[in-house]
Amino acid sequence: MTRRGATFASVAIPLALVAVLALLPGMVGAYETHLLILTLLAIGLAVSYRPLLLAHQVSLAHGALYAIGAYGFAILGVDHGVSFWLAIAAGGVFAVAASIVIGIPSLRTSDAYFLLITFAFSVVVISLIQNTESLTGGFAGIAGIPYPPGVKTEDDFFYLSLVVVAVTVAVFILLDRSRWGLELRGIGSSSDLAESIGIGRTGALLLAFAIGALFAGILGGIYASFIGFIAPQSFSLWLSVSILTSVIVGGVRYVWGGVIGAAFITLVPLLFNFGGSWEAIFGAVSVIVVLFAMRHGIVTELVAYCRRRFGSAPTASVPVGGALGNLDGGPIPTRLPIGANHVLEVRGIAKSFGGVHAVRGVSFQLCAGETLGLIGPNGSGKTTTFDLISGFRRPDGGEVKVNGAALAHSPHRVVRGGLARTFQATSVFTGMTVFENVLLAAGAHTRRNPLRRLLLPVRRSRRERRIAEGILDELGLAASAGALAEDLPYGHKKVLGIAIALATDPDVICLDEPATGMTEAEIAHLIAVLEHLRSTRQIAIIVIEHRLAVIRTLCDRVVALRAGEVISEGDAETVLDSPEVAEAFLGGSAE
Amino acid sequence: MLSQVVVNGMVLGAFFSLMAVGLTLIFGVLRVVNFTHGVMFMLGAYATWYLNKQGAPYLVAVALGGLSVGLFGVLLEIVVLRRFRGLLIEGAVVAIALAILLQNLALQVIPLSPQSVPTPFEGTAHLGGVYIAWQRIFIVVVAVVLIAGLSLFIKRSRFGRSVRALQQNPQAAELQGIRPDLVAPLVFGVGATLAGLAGGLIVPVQQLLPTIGEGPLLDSFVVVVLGGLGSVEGTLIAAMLIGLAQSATTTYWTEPASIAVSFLIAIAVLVVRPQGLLGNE
Repeated sequence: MTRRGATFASVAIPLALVAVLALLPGMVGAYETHLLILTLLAIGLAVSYRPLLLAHQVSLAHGALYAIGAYGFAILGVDHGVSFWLAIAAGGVFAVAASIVIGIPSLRTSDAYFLLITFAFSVVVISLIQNTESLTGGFAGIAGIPYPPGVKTEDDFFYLSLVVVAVTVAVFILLDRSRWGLELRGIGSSSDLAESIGIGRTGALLLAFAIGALFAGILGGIYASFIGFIAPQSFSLWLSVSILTSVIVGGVRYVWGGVIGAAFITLVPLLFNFGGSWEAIFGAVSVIVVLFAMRHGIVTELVAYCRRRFGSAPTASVPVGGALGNLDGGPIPTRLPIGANHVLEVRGIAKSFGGVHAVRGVSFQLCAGETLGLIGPNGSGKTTTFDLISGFRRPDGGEVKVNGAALAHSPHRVVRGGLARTFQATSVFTGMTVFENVLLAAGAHTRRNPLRRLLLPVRRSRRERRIAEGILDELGLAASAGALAEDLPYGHKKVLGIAIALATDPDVICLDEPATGMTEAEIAHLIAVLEHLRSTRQIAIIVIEHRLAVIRTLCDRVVALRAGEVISEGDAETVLDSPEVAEAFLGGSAE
Repeated sequence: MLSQVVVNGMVLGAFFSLMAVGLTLIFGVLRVVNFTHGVMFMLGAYATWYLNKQGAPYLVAVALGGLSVGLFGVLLEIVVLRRFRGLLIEGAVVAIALAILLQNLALQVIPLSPQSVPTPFEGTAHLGGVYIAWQRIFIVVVAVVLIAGLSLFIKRSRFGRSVRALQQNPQAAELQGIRPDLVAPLVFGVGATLAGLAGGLIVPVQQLLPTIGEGPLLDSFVVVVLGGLGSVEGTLIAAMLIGLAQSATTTYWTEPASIAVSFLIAIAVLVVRPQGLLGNE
């Protein structure tokens, strides 16, 4: 399908769907209309829940936030006479406030805590609703909740829900295509890599939790108005679980996964008239079957199948160096001169783990455009040094300055100061194309208008596209731009790791074992790439590498570490040929 | 009054630790947040009730009940959870689904009306102004013996070393010849046994209803969050703290508030120490 065709379809199909749904109330009975309204609300819940799951975070609080919205609306609207839509909005705001209060402490730590805390939160909310009778009516609930002004019949209510849920889905499609949507995918794929290119993990997740809460709260109010009566039984923990179930069954990758999943999980039990227990069993079995048989969910697997069957899958197997013909084998491009100012100053940094001094008193400086090799046997503290200067670990002592400013203590702030790093293991964002990998990195570290970050499709931002395309071109990855990152051959993945770091426009780039595991041809390609970089920008490079031939070819200076301390420093030839280094590496003889 | 509150709290803490230690061990080795733990508790309680009704003496019923739940846990790990080892999200989702499935399948066979189980430890002890049911003293004794034995086993035995190695670094452990396919089902079985025993131990002093596992599941979640996921010592300290907090809330305020209070304590600790009391995540 052409681009224009795809855009047309992505607008026309949803509109057609809404049109078909709009015809339904005239064609089906009152009972079916009732079911359709419940299904629409379930779709809204699933779609607003999905962003967290996209970032690989499971919340079991969505149902509780829905309950908070419903009760907030009912208490204000029924007991205090607040006008209808104001009370609905207030319900949304209450849910957002709750999400922030529990999100801040629980999102900072590992994913498991968030899951446990949101689960506990749900139980506590239900228990509070049951036990604060003066406010919530306890088990008796709140009755006599009115329809919205102007809405008379259930058919009217259907149209209202249709509009609200269609708007919800449209908003979440926009969010999904935005830079923030891409950030969430990045966090879900690798939260370390995401931090290393400047994405603030906690902030992005909190936003997902809060935006989801806003919609859950509003939908909760609408539900309360539709049913006319709310009680604790309406919001059991099962509700949160069934929202999670819907998205997993439908598939996380596309917004439509949430839509289809919610329709499936809600409609099937209602249509076949399963009782309470069998409805739960149906949901549970659906999840287990999906996780065993089609791990990515119905919609995701269906799209993948159609791509394989009908579309031309983008091929990833471009021969190494093929696209870099202009670089490989040609004369070495002229380097830009080394500057006089220090872009990186490391002074006496130290870190111990338990009683082990991983790094002790390590100091070195780096000038703009210079290349420094960091060598040493396994366990000598090379990667720990990288972790310390890139903000992934906090040093016990000493200081690091990038461009004269003291280092920030979190990776996503360090990269804003001009220092980027790669990781020892191949580290790319899986589930995204090569182009999206670099596009994400190309804008993640710059501050921007929050509305643009949330609502502007990330592919529309011309400047970042240009940066990403330029870097892919430079590094010889342009031909694989449309391939999924995980499908790249090994050497290409490593180069993509460098492209990601480079896209943050760093003054200093730290490469952790870039040549490890590469074939000779891939190493030649890597060296050509780095030499090319030095000819186009005055970038300072630090390389950790065990292949000393790579160090010899590239580095101006070398720092050798052993047991966490610097044992030798100087120009590459001197250090590599020094007896201390030879001994540290090989126990006597030279390379 | 105060000493009664403290004693009640410690009894509660001992009971929580029976549940929570298994949860934290299972998370340490499988990286799965085990939502089936409450169902295991419920199954242990009903197995005890059933065996007792068939004529088995209470102590035999509890032991057999716990062991059969443990065996069921081993099977569950091998058949289902094995595939989701190390996958936090998928593992949690599948555990939730299993919990719901098992709970609702159980509803098809177990009686829905409240049941009770008689115990040989009847009556209440009166010790220095503090009243405490003999059955609760029995629960504390069993909990202390089991957890002390388990800690010793994990510290000293070959199997225990494998468990700790898998917790710290699964890949390195596998390279050393430790087989997660053997260790994980056993760890899951041990956790399930403890949960099943806890269920059997509680039925003489609590009405047996199909929902009996929900409260303990939540309590043990709060305990492991507070103690630090994967840390047994942290879990024990947290179990005591939560026990005392719930006992105090119940006595001085109102029972329904106790779960909210323990949740707030866990949240407050997370604000100061994001990894829990003794966690090292």
